[in-house]
Amino acid sequence: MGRLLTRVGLRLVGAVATLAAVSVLVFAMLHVIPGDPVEVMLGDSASQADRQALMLQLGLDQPLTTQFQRYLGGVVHGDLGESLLSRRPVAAMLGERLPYTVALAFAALLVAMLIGIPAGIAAAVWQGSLADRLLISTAVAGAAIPTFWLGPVLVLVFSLSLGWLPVSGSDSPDAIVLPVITLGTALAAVLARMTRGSMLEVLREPYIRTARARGVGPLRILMLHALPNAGLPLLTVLGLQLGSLLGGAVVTEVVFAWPGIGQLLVDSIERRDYPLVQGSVLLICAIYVLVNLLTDVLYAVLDPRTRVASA
Amino acid sequence: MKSTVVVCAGFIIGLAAAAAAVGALAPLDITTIDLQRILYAPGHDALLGYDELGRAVLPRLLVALATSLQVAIVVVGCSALLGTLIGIVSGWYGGATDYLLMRIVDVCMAFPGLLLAIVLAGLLGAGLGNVVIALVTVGWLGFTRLARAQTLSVRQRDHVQAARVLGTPVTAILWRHVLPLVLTPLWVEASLAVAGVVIAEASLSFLGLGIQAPAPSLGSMIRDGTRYMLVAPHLVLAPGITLFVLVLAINLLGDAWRDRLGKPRA
Repeated sequence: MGRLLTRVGLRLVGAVATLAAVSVLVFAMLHVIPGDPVEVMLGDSASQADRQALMLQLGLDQPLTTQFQRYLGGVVHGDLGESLLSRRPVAAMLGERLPYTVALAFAALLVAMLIGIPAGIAAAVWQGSLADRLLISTAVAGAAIPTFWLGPVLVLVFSLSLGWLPVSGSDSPDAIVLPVITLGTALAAVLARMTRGSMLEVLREPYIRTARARGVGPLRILMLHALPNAGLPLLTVLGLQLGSLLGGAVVTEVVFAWPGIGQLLVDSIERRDYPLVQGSVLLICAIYVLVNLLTDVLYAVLDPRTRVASA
Repeated sequence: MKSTVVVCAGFIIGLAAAAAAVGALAPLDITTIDLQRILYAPGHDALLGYDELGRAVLPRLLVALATSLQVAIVVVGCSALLGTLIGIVSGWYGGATDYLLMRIVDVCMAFPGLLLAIVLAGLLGAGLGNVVIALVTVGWLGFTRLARAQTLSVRQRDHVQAARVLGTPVTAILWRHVLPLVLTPLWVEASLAVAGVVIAEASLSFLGLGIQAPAPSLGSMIRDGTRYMLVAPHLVLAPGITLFVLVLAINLLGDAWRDRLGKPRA
């Protein structure tokens, strides 16, 4: 257990270092790339005096190094600054949007697991059958459908033609259904293929044959003997996917006007609201890095082999 | 069955390339507005109908296809070149160089999915060149990791060791003895990356961060079409199905190639 803790500690240090580098990179990107927020906010017709006043107010007249010190000091204290447009703290704005992104991410992941894992297991058990081939074709096709096309088509069918669900937004509770289906089915396609491959590999192992020879029932073999081992590689995939989903499925959020972090990011980029862009990107990267770290740790806890191998 | 699929996929990509070439070579009329035909449905006199401004959809689709393929080829080409170079250098020299380069890769990998490209494209401003820059910034990572891993194992091979003992200059060793052995999995990665870049470019354009109007892109055509979905569904269906079939065909060919090489994707 001590070794495990050391490993987790090392990974944690690595993750923090990565995030520190990310925050430097984000600051550099925003300040090196041309595009003047003052100009965007005031428009072309603004007087020179107004511009000066705004620059002063936003602290943009300070040298870059001073701005950077302020920014980094703020980040360390959890203060992400103020939005240039709404003048509200960035952290509070992110806090309002985060629950929407989290709800969407977990619901989509759940849908993907409920469809993808059973489908993948079934395809592996009846390998080569018509059902297997059908599933593989569907999964290959599913992976090629862009979300920003599937989304509008679902809206066309279920909202506009059938009138079952709202077109977009988040005002009614069933508004989450279409974005979840859009994201979930795309993930399910990937997950089904992974499950099938992983399951096929495990079912070829000698211990499965032994269990069969001892007369263990097929369902029991599948669920108690094969699935736990086949599930381990899936954990990594699920972790990666959850990480990127929690980072705001930007395109899907925009399609459905879902008020999550991704939508906030795109809006703030359009308006050149630098502190808001900075805050959103930092939060997204932090969540992503953290979820990946947790996945690794969970993997090490669940699979004793990785602990031995690393010792 | 497998071979028919591959032949079909090859045929589709050939067709797309030919269509794109027509779109790129012959100056198609993509800006003329026919006010009588706003949102005109597809029919015998208008193959894919007209859009919300009264422009014919088919020539716009061809130009969008051409742009999409051009962006994909340029982005994958640059990513592969840059990524392979950095990966081989990193794997060959090891030590501090390797450590530094890999930490840069780590930082870029902390941005999930398209995030880095979205932010970059957004800040650089929309436009073809900036889209390419944004996508290469994300694209080189995969090639670097793959090339580095390959170089690490190839470096230990006898023929490379022999070349070193004989005093062959490093550039010659890398060019003649390492690169050829590193390339195979990179080709597969490249073929699959093309599909990824096609979707990525369309996504950026869909978000309004990619190709700018009036130049057509599959992504922006879908975005503009969604507003008229109920009256003119062909505006969303035509570019969407085109994109879907193109990506599917590229993926199928890439998969077939991977199976032929008999190596799982690293």
